[in-house]
Amino acid sequence: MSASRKPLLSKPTPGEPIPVGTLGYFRARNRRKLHSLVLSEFEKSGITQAELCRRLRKEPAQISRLLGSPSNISVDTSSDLLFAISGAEADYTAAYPFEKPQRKA
Amino acid sequence: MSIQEIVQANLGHRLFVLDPLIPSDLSVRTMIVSQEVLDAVDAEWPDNWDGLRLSDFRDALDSFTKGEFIAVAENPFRKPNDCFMARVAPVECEVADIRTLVGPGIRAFGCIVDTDCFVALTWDYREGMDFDHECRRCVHEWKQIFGNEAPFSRGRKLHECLTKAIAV
Repeated sequence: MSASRKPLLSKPTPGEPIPVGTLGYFRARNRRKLHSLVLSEFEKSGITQAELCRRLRKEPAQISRLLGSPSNISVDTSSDLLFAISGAEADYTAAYPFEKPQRKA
Repeated sequence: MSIQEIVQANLGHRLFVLDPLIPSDLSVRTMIVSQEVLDAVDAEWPDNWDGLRLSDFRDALDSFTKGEFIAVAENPFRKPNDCFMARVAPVECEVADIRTLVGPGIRAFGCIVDTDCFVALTWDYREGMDFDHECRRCVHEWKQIFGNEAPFSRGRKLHECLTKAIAV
């Protein structure tokens, strides 16, 4: 039995300030998606954390911290990690989550 | 009854399936929450610093459900500060916490009940947290619902219970 019955999030309303919680949700969502992208590439690549250390000239504790923590994923850090892992870069497009079809119940 | 059967029997009154807030996000894993957690993440957030923290909390749970790659730590004493999920000491309790990003953070405590299925039972703000107390509180809540049944994670590593999870 699903718990979420009323929408807590909505698109911006013209003339109205956006609730702090809505901005907070999307900030966190953005950071976690970026971190997820890095982890996904890392798993796909098959390289070890030791190899990633060598490529980025970092200590194992630093790499563990970067892979482990979304809050450590800055734009620059994610660029370094993606490139070091697989020669990749993040590819940006705008998405409109409220305009996509709803998931089935 | 198995723990999965106990979950089903309690859905809707002691336990609730938490779907992602954005209606188009798909559910890949299952996040089940207690009334205590539900009240924090499924109510209107205040328009202040706490609202930022609580909405971050909700996104953490939704990220789990959506199937985002997550970092999980087995050793409570050796882990990145805000990896997504970590075992809580004493590890024999099979309690893990989900960890948020904003400020000192929020910690949600619970247990894995099946592959890709987590039950979040308790939560609190990180500042001044007594982890021993929170672990005991979570274990108490677990026993209220599941009795002496052991969580699914017993005998397994966290990342073995979860797909798209990286051990850190």
